[in-house]
Amino acid sequence: MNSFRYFPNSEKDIERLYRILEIKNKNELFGRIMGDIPLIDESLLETLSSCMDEKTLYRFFSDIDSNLPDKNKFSIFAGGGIYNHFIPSAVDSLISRSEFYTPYTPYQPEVSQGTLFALFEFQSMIAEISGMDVVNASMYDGAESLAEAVLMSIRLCKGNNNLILISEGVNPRFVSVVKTFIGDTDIKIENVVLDDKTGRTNIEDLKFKLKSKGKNGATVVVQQPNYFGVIEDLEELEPVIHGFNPRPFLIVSSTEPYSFGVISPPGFYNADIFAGEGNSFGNYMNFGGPLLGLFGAKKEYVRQMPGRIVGKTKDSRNKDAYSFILSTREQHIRRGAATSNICTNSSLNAVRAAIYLSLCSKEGFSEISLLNLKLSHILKEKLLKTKLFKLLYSGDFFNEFSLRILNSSVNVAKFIKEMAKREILAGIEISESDILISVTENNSLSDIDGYIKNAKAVLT
Amino acid sequence: MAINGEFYFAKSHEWISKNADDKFYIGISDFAQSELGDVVYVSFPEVGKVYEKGDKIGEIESVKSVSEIYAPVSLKIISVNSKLNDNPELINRQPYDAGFVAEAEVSDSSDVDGLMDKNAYESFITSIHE
Repeated sequence: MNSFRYFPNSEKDIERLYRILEIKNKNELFGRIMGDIPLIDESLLETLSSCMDEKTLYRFFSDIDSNLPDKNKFSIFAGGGIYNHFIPSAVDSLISRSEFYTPYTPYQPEVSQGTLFALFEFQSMIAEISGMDVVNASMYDGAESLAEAVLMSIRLCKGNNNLILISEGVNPRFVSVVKTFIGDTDIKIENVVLDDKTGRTNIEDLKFKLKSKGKNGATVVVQQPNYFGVIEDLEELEPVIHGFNPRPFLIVSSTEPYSFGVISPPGFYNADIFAGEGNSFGNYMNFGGPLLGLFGAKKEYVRQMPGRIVGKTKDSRNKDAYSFILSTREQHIRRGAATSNICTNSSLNAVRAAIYLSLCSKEGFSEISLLNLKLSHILKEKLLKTKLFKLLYSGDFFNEFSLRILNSSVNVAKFIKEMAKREILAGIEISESDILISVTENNSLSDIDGYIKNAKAVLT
Repeated sequence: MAINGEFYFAKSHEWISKNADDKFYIGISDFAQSELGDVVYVSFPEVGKVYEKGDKIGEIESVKSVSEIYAPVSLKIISVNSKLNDNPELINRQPYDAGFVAEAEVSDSSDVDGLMDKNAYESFITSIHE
């Protein structure tokens, strides 16, 4: 990431400052205050390289004294829907402004242009990342987004659709929220199995189940990348799904939209609705919540969308102004016929995401995305080399993959427990013998080597 | 275009009027459009579908609300006024003409006779305003 180099002072400025302070160089400047900061000795300053990224700088100083707080004491390789991404300090600093942090429902355009502008930027960034035409100002979390997407697809079929086909690659926690939402309706859910070998949604099973819908509509839900980390082949799936008559709806979910920095997003594959989890963008893992629901759709479906949407317009002085739009879908106007019960959004988390993404820049986003992919593949290769694991699925993956532990005397629960004793969160249990492992830019190469070393010790 | 026939009204503020082909135009009344304000979007009934009297056949969205359109009598939709897609304000400007919503077939035209005529509808509006 070299898009943003930061030059606080020019050489000329520095020379002038030295002249005023009557000193000759940097050492003379810091030498005078050394007595106040005992933990830094002068020789360390000499080893500081001329520039470091924030994470390296943080590690540099926390390595000086082990009593300093170290955010990354545990190396985290557990994902399964919530990922351990790096968050620049600027995000915390900017979001702590009271205009973002403390107002209650800051939505009136007369007094809240700042918040509405930030949410508009959030929507634009998510629209670009997901490739969707319209994105709302956020939902509660990815699971709720998906449930609302399912209900939206039912509304769009005007009573002609009660069949939801959900790929077994969709996060099981999301599926259980969908089931809660439709509990009192006559909507039927059927699973579409995964291909045993590749781990992708089985296209023959999908075709078979879509044929059973007859003259009715249907909705197909897949996750990209799927719960087991495998990248679905949407290029193959989409024309098959949309080829049926009447045309079924394609909902693409995602728990790791960071993947869209290297793989094509749902909009590129003609998805009708995108419903995902946006926690990876600038939000902490928060012990599992609050999270950030992302919701996007094709433009022609905008009137059936749930949630709030910020639009850009002109004020009475012909200047840009922001306001919630298409509110006639919402409960405060439409009462019982509203498209959704949601009357708010996850503003704080959404603004965090907007701040984070703008700090990343477009190039940075792709670079971090690619780094996730590279690091996860390095860990996979190294783990397979130990001969203690085998890959569960052959399909391509992004930053998460599923492995089988070959040593049958150590089950996954025990492996995770033993690794935790060694300060490594090794992954998530999929079954007694299978584990889901994720790698992000927060895992260094030495963390990866630590994983290998400790896995060997636990499993042999 | 010009709709020349007699207008009959439902209590839910839709009108229906017979045309030269023995088909019927349906729309919403001048009173209804003025209550709604600027219309921005119309969601049409399904062409070819049969609706019972009182069924919800569509929606009209204005800048301040969304209202349902109900079938004034039992009918089958033949076509919809697709000009409203690009010019929804026709409902405000010409509610009894270019702002019609759909064309329909009515199997039992005596249903139409059971609705209010123009005078009856006007006194109905006055009565609900009192």
